[in-house]
Parts: sequence; structure tokens; C-alpha cells
Amino acid sequence: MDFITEIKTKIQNILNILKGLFKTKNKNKLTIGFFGSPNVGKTSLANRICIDAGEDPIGNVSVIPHETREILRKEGVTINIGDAKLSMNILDLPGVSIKVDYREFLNYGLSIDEAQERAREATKGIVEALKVMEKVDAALVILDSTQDPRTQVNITLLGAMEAREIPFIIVANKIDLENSNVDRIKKMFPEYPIVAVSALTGKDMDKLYNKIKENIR
Amino acid sequence: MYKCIVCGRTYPNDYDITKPCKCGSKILVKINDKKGEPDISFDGRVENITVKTKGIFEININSIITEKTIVIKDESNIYYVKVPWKPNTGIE
Repeated sequence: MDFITEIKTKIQNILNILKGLFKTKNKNKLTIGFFGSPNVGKTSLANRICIDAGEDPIGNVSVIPHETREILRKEGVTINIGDAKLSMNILDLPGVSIKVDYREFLNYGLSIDEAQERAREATKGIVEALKVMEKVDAALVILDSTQDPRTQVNITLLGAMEAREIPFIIVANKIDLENSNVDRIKKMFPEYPIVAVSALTGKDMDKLYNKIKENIR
Repeated sequence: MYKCIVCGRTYPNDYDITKPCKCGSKILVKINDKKGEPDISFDGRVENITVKTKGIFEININSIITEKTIVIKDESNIYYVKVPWKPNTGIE
């Protein structure tokens, strides 16, 4: 081996080591935000992933909209996919909506004061959820597959992520329900990666983990 | 006028926005015809959160994403400006 070839080989080795170091760093720091409207199952999905990873659930779930009103964070959640490991930091975000009305909460037995305070916290949570977009490495946009996906929230979130080149996967949740319609979501967003799951039962979560590995890692 | 956020093609106001752009993207945003910029202020409003009455809020999610400032208009037409908004995520 001549001198120049030897130098080139050494430089290439150093570059490979540096590349590996940065890759490992990114792997350990990968932060995934869970975006979507209220009550689509963001916290249920985050809890399911935590449970699959042998961790405690990240937060409480409730039928009352806007149960998650501040960002919930869980670091270093690791899922085994065959021989590979998928490690991530989870940011479970407050649900995004274009209107928050305390009167909606009164139907669930809250007092007027409690409902108004919940509405105030929910609005603050929406701002936090939208502003955190610029901080995440990747996103899961969770949709309720029983609902019409053509909403201002869904279109705005997906458009903003596409414009910012944030890798994302659409998660069509609640496929355990009879009126689930995943095809409607696929027709609406044919160019985006979509995985259909049930966070409640755990159905097809392995497909989601593989999709994250393929599209985000 | 509508503008594709991926390739930048523009379409007239009467364009059926349920149809995708020629590039395949399905996300078209309404833009200001004169300036050619996204019409993020919606009808000229500067606020991105409107307090209709105590406990009822209207949120302009598009402008919250795109603008650094948060402008809140309360029920007495008083404006509050928060600059800049930094979410408490623990992420550096």
C-alpha cells in the first residue's frame, strides 16, 4: 500500500468512526411528537408504546376532551423489533383544536369554574403543542379512524410538517371500533405513510414500530 | 389564489382544492393575491387567539405555527402580545 492510499484509508476510517458517533447520538436523541386533535388516542398510543417497552404509562386517558393539557415526556423508551432496538423520547402533546368551549365540558359533570379553567389550560396546551413542532425530530400524527379526516387541524398539521420537512407517519387509530374507516384516510392522504392500529387493544402495533423504523430512523 | 406548499404552483380562487396539485401534494394554502404570501392573518386579524367570553377561545392554529408572537384578544378587545413563545419541553 503506497503512502497516499494509506492516508486515504486512515481518513476514511476516521470519517466512518465520526459518522458512527453522530448516528448513535441521533439515535439516542430521537424525539417523536404525538400530534392530533383531542380524543383521537394520543395518550392511549403513547401509553401502549410505554407498556410494550416495559415502562409505566405516560399519562391519564379520559373521555372528556383535552385531558392532556401540558406536554408529557418519557425519555429512552426502547422497543425490540426482532433483533433491532427502537429507542425514542416520546412527547405526548395536548390535542389541537380551533375552538375550545368550556360548555362542552359541562356535559361531563364539571362545574362552570372547573370547565372554564380546563378551557384556559387546554388553549395554552394547544399553543405549546404547535410550538413544539419545531423541536421534534419526527412526528406521529394520530387520527381517529372513525371520524372524517378532512379537518382543518389535520390538514394544517400535515401541511406544516411537510413544509418543515419533519418526517411523520399518520396513525389511523381506533381500528377496533366497528365504524372505523381506514380507507377514507388513505384516500385523503395517499402520498403519506399510514399505519392502522388500535392503541386500546394493541392490534398491529408491530406494524407501527416497523413503519417508524423504515420511515423515521 | 391557492399555492401548493410543496412545489409552489398557484391556482385561481375557483380551483377545486379537493383535487391534488400537479406535483401530487394535496396541501394547498390560501394566499394573498397581491403579495403572493400565505394569508395567515385571516381577514386582516392580527390576533391568533380570541377570547370570545370567559372559557371560550378561538385559535388560529396556522398563524400560531408560522408566527413567533402570540397575540391574544380578550372579550374587551384588549390585545396581549407574548414574544417569543417558548414551549417548556425539556428539549434543548
